[in-house]
Amino acid sequence: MKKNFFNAVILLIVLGTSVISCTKDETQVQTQVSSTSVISLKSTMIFEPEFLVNKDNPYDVYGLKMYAFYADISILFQDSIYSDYLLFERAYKELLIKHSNNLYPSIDTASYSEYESKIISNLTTNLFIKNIKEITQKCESDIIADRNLTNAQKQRLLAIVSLYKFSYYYQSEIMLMYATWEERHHDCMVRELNTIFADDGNPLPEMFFIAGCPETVIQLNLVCAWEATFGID
Amino acid sequence: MQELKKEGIIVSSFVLLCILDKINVPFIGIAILFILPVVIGLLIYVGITSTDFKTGKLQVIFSIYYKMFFLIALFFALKDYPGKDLISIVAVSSALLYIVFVALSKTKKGLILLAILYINLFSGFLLLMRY
Repeated sequence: MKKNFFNAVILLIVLGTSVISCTKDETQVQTQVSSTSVISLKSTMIFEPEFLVNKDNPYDVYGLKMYAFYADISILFQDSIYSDYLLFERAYKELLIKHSNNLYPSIDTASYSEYESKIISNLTTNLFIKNIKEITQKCESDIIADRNLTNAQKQRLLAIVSLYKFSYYYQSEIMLMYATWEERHHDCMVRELNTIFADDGNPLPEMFFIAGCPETVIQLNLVCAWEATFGID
Repeated sequence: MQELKKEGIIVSSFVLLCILDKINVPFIGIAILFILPVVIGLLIYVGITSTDFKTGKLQVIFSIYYKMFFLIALFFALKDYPGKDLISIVAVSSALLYIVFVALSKTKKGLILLAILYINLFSGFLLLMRY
C-alpha cells in the first residue's frame, strides 16, 4: 500500500516537472520570436555597397535597396538566441515579408538556356570578395556586348549578376564581422586550395603544391592565420 | 626501437587530437592548425637522429615523406579542405612505393610491416573522417 502511494507521488512529480518544462519552453520561444519585432531599431550595421554599382546595369538599384534587409539580417547573426535554426528561420521569413519592397523583383527563368547557365557558372566560380568589382563589371560588359543573347536574356542575366554580386558582398561582410578566427581561417584555406585544386585542366598548381609539401601546407596555413587575424588588407 | 616509440607517441597524439576535434571539443580545431607543423618537425627530427639514418639515408627520408603525407592527408580530411582526396592518394601511393623500395633493397623487412600498418590505420581514419 505504502509502495503504491510512493509510486503515485513519484509519477505525479515526474508528470508535473514535464508539464512545467513544456510550458517554460513555450514561453521561451514566444519571447525569443517577439524580439524580432525590434530588429531594425537595433541595427547599426554599416555596409558600403556603392562601389559595386555599374551604371550600365539597371538592376543595381535593387542591390542598394537590399541594404536595409541585410542590415536586419546581420542582427540575427549577432543575437545568440538565433543560434537555434528554427527561430532563425522564422525571423528570416518575417524579415522577408517586412522587406518585400527592398528586394529584387522576381526573375523569369523560363527557357533559361545552357549558354546563360555557363555565363553565371563562370562568374560564380571566379568570384571572391577581393576581385568582386572587376569580375562582375567585366561579366556585365560581356553580357551587354554579347550578340548571341536576346534582349530578354540580357536583362535576365544582368538581374542575376546584380543579385549575386550584392548578396555575395553583404553576406561576406556579415561573415567577416561575426565569424570566429577559426571560421575566417577555414574560409581562407578553402578559397586558396580551391584555386590550387581547381578543375581547370592545368595540373601544374596541384603538382607544385604536392611536391612542395610540407612547406606549402605550412606556408598556406600561416598566410591564412595572418589573414584571419589582421584581415585581407 | 626507441625511435619507434617516440614516433608512435607523436603520431598517436596527433591522431587523438584529430578525433577530439571531430567530436567538437572546443579549441582543439585551432590547436591542430599550430600543432601540425610541430608534429611534422618532430617526425623529421626523430627520423634524422635515428641510428638508421647513418646506414640508409634515402630509406629514412622516404619513410619521413610518406608518414608526413599521411599526417597532411588526415589534416585535410578532418578540415574537409579541397584536394583531400588527391593528397590521400599521394600518401597511400608513396607508402606503397616505399614498401617496394624496401623490398628491393632487402634491408630491414620490419619497415614493410610498419608501412602496411600506416596504410591500414590511416586509411581507416581517413574514411572515418569522411562521415
